[in-house]
Amino acid sequence: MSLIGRYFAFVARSCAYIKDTVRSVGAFALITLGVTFTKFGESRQVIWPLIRKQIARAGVRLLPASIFLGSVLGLAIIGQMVSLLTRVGAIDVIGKVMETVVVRELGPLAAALMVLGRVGTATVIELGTKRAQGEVEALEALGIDPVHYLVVPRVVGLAFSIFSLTVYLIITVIVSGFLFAFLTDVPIEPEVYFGQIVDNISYQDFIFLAIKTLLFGTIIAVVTCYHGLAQPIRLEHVSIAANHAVSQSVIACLLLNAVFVVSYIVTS
Amino acid sequence: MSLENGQSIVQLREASIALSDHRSLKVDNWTLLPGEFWVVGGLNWTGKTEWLMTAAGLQPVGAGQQSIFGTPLTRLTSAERIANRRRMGFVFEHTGRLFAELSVAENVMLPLRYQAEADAATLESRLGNVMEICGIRDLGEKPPTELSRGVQRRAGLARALILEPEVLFLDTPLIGLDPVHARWWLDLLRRFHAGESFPIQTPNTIVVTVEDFRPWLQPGREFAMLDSGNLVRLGQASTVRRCEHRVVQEMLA
Repeated sequence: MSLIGRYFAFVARSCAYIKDTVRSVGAFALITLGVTFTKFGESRQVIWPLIRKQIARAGVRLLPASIFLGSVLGLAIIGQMVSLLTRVGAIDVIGKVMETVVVRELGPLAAALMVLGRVGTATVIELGTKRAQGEVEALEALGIDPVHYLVVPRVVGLAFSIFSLTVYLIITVIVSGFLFAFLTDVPIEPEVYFGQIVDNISYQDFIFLAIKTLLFGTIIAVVTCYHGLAQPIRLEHVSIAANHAVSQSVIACLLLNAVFVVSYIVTS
Repeated sequence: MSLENGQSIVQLREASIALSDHRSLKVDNWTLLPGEFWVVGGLNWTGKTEWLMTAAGLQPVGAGQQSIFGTPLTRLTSAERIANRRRMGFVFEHTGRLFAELSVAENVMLPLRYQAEADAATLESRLGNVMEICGIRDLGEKPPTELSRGVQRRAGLARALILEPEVLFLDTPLIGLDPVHARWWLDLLRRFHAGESFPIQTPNTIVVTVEDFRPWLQPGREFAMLDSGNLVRLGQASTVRRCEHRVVQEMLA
């Protein structure tokens, strides 16, 4: 086969793989959604502690890392941006820029990627190992729905964790951004800085932020659980599944983010 | 849902069971009736685990008929499947496939807590009883990974018994055990089958897969073997002793 022929064969194979993956992950997401709603109140004494465990793992334990990340981003990016805008006399647009950059884009994405890195990969490895060792069949043998027991707590836990972490991260970025400006003698008063941010954040931002972060959490949980659980896997393939899960989660989150960017443009 | 007189618990007819590496296992006709004790032997890689999981309704047949408590598996709703699972205990091979993140007691209690039908007092009492029956009463707080394989398998048995099933499926329960532990299993299963009284309801219908027929040769048990991709019915213990089939001879040697 010629070089061009091989190239087209590669493209065709890649397209087929993408189509199959989207279809399989979509089907798994629908099953998860169905189980989440139909069995939400069932087996509370088993499922709710698992949800709390996931929130502790993906939310509470990542809080220090979130604050650290927020501080670094605030000092390195926002502080410099505030300093630059003040120097060029564009102090009036600080609030709008902060709302667009931090609240809409940077906060949710940074929190989602942090949770993906710390918890998403661990989820694939955990569930992949369980699947490879036959624990999924063991759950079925006990009359326990594996999606209800293993996936639903992760979806709920990651969704609420990313939402909460985003809120903390945004607050930290805004505060540390001002701290940088203060330390570098940028002539901006705190009431001007914070006042502009408050003035530019609307109720729509809160709604979009909540929906976006909950969807980021759902996507990461569904994709990582799918790669760990939904297909037969051998122990030696778990690390490969983790790689696929991370790259597909990142792509899915970025695509969702693009949809939100369009929504912002349309609604503003 | 209760069994009518003579109604089969499991029926496989003209069934084809998918095995690993694209092989399959044929079962012409196999029926499990209440009160039976089946011993199904086979050498390595003959499909014992797949056959047992299919018989227990955990794996669908590739072709043919598969009925559980009189209803084809494909016609069961999700709720009926769960209800059936409560009536059928399953003990997995080797370490019993316990959940490593839970302690032994949490593993054992999990199915009962998930069904959410028992109050705390019933849960404690049932847990104490099954742990006592399985001889692991003092090991409840330990993580499974700190226990030997034999003890983990006992915990797997306790987990299967906690829902008080009517039928018990065991996948090679004696594999790798010393004579003392092997005798413990044989004696306990004999007592279950004989319908001896225990503090909890225990199953008197039992299906085991084995690699060695010798410890199981007791009257009142049905024997079969997996050979060349087929389930071959052998009859009772006396027939097995006289059987000259090469594989049977291997499993009696």
